[in-house]
Amino acid sequence: MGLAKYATYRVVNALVILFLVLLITAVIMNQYVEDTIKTEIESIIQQEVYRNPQYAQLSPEEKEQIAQVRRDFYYTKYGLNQPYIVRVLYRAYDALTFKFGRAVTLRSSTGSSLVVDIILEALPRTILLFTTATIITIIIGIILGMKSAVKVGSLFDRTISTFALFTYSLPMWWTGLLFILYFSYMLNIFPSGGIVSTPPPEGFAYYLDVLWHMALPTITIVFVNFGGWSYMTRSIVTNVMTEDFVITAKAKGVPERSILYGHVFRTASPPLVTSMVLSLIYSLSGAIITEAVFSWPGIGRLYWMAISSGDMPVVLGLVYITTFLYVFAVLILDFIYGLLDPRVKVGV
Amino acid sequence: MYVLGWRGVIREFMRYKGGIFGLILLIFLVGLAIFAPVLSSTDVFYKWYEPTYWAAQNLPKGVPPEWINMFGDKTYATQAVLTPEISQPSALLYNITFKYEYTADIPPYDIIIDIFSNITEGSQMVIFMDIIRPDGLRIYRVVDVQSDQSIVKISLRSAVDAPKKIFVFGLQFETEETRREITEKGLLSVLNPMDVVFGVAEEGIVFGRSGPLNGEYIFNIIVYRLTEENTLNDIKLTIAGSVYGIMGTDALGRDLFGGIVWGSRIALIIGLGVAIISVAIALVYGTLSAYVGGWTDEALQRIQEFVISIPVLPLLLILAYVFTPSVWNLIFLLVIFSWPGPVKTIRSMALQIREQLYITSAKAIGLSTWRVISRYILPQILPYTFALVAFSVPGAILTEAGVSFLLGNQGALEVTWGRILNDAEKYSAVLTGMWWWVIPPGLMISIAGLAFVLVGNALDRVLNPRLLR
Amino acid sequence: MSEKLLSVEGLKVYYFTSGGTVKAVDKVDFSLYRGEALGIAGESGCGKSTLGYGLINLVPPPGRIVDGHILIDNVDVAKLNESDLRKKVRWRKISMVFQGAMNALTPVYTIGKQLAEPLTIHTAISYKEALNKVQEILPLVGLSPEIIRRYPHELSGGMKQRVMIAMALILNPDIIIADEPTTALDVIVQAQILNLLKKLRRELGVTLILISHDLSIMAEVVDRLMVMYAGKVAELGKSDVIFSAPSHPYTQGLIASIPKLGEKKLNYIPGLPPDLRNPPVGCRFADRCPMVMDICRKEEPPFFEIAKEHFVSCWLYR
Repeated sequence: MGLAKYATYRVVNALVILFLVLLITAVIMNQYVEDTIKTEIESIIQQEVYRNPQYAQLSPEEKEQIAQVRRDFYYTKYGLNQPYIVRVLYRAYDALTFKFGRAVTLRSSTGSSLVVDIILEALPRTILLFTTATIITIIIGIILGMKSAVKVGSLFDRTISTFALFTYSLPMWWTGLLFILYFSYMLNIFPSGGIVSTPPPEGFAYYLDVLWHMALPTITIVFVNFGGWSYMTRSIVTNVMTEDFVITAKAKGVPERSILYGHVFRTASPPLVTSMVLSLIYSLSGAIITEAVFSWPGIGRLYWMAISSGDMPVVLGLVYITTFLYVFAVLILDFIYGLLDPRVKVGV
Repeated sequence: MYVLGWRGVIREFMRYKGGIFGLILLIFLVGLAIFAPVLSSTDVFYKWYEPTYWAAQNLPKGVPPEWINMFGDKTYATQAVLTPEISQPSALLYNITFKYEYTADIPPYDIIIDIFSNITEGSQMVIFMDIIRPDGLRIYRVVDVQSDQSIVKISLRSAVDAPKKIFVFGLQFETEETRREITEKGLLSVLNPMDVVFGVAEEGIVFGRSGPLNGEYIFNIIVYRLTEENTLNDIKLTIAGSVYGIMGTDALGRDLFGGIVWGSRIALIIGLGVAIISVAIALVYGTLSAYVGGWTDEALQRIQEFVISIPVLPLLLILAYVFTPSVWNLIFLLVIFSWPGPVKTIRSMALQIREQLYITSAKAIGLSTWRVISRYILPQILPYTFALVAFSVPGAILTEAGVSFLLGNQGALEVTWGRILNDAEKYSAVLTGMWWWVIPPGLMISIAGLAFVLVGNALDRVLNPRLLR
Repeated sequence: MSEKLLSVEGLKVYYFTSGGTVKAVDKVDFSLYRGEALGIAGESGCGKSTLGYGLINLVPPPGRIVDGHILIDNVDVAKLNESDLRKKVRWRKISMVFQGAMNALTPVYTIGKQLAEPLTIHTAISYKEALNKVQEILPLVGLSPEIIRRYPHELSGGMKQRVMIAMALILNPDIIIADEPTTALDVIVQAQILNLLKKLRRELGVTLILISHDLSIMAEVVDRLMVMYAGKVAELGKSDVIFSAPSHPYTQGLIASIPKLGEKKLNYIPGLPPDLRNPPVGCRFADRCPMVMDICRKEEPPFFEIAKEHFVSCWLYR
């Protein structure tokens, strides 16, 4: 079966990416964790040996000897004298089980300093914003793309293509800054950031409030991405429309709409899904930064705060979880591709 | 095969309006980058992140660009350095006057006095300043300091007692009620002393509501040196404008024009550097993959697919922590993730060239793999790599900007457009409406990206060998 | 002769390109009778495929029918609007077997769905009934009924062409146009498809228009032959007559160039067809004609009926 082979290949690919990121994360995490532990051990030894009145009469050499013994003890206790690879594998295991330890300064809204808690609190908000925006982008992009594919060379088509060209090199997060400047600072019709007003309204009004806060970041993401999306749809669809089977369908008397939204769109959908994967990669970075710009308390905002306060455990946890989610999303799209393309579904 | 020659390429290229527009933008950017030392100064680049350098420049903080005076109905005071008239009424006394013609509606940002002198050990100088306004009113002893420092800088806006004295002058025109309200609420800290200095002496002056008082202002400074060994070498009075330069200043009093100009150099270096290196790697990789074929090709393709599917930003962020921040390390990191981009295109081109008869004959003669690739395949793909480079630049510039924006000084140490925006975000430029701090850097990023996309599109049409289509 | 099914009068199909107007089909007249097989032959670019598309008014842009009539049951196909064409003509009256069998099937639909589609569009039957009908017709073209669950990429080229033929038969149309039905196939499969076409004609009495550049396959299948040159009809007549005694110099050259066993020399017609954006005055074949006369370059030759139902457009038969 083609699909099984294809799926296995995709899953293996995803696992390799995860493993590699895991390894890099583990190496850096190991460095960080060991530095922290060593500093702690040294301060304990200071207390135990150098400031201990019991040892006050001993010579510096003797003190150093005792300190070394204690140091060895603690190193063994925390596994610091095990081979490097073993230590790194330990960290990898920790990361794999989402044990990223405690944040240095950041706290979750419930006051927990566990990195997992902090990230899990932010995650659903990111998914809410990013999924909504992506779905809107895809719908608008495909509709406009199909429209311009039908009228290649028309004013509508040229407008969309030019717009796509201009938004291609537009940094999404900067566009966000501009929108805040215009819509929040100058016109004052949207909040400049955050997810709810303070104090948050109760009941149904709460959800409306969240929607109102979501509006500007969503508009930003959609604004920057839909042009590229429709251009992509347009090129793929126009390509498919030159294929012979379209003539066959026309000769068969299939209505224009059924040809376009049936034969053509259905054939164009596998390559569209592939482009979806690529544009997801492309817009992920932008979306993370955009969130930070809008103070949307999700993953992106957390990145910003963790980086600016140098909270290493949180940064590492974020990198790992983002990659994990991203690889997962790509995997799902790959499966959808497999189901859409009969060449994959039933093998060659 | 497809041969156009340089002239042909240029002639074909000129047929695309978009390409020409892109080329104009590109020339503009390259011009900025090359003439940065002339347009700005090298100090701006090397000392962008040194607060002492910028303090010495006496620039206003967070003011819009000068050209806004051409729009809107109110004019803003511009930057001015006044020339002193110095007299010595007695041996130990300098009497210095500065004259300033105030014609704007919005008062200057600040008045700054710089005094350079030699003071002997343990001695002092005493400095006074009165302001004589066009309406004849005099603000006494705005400055009243004793100093043992040879270099003295006094800013009327941020000095300890100067604003107080100015407000005392201003409050005499306010009602009793207002005066009480101001003291009770401690409003003085949010009011602007410059409104008082340059305002009409009537009710509302401390709030800047009484309107501008235009005319000649005289700043009268008296420097009293305790002994004749102390000498006054130079004295300077700067009117810091409420508008400045071509692009205004940021909250730290830096000239944003300088940052933007120098930023173009870094952006082009990073953009082109990453693009050229990436395309070069992709060229060798893709050609080798196509030419050798078989199992090697399969493996190389899988590796490429793997790297291209790695999410860039998170890994870049974490790697940026490991590497010391510098432009070169940033280029290196970006190359790691961007070389797979052009590989597919190059591979498919090389595949088609490989099928040509003369390649078979070259192989039959017994030329080595490397020789066939370098002599017969690469030269044919090479022209098209210009288009590939152009297409790779925007991504690199965009990613660099994003990383700089998130990381600040962890990315590159130099001033980049992304870092200017990072500072803007740190100082809430958006929420305080400092558009001149937010718009130009991002606009430049977009322009740079657009320029390369447009040029790339045109080059693609001109150089894309027909065999690809 | 039996009942006249289709008559084409003064048909002109032009392509309007940026480089000029290409007169791909220029004033073509012919008729088609029920049950016969008409072959349209000529070099590539002579307008024979365009003519085929023209008959169902489906010339791909920038081409379109400029002038002339295509009469079926007293309805002029050339004048119908898109929706009437779809409902009344295409596939009901005339169906088509396309040139590139490889790409003529939609890759993402099953064979069954594609075969059933004309039934569900043009008749009132349900998809399920349509599938049953499809399964009935498949053995007729030598395919197993279970193929309906397959996708095009799972089939060989010959099988795909059989599917196309089944599709053309499914509505029982008056006329089937087969445009280079064997071009993309290898020799053995070519023979199989030709035999299939012959069998269908024999058993179902299908009226067929066979378009091909390959005269050897024409000889096997068609009753009458129409030879086209540069957008015009050069010669039209019974195929056995034309093959044994071609009258137009072009037809003569064409038939002479069919490779025959035992002959060492390969014959060919020197020169190239004229540029159809700017065709020469007079006979379009004049430049390549071994028997060219003065009048050929001045005046376009009309049709001369040299025998019953045998027309030649050449001044030699004045």
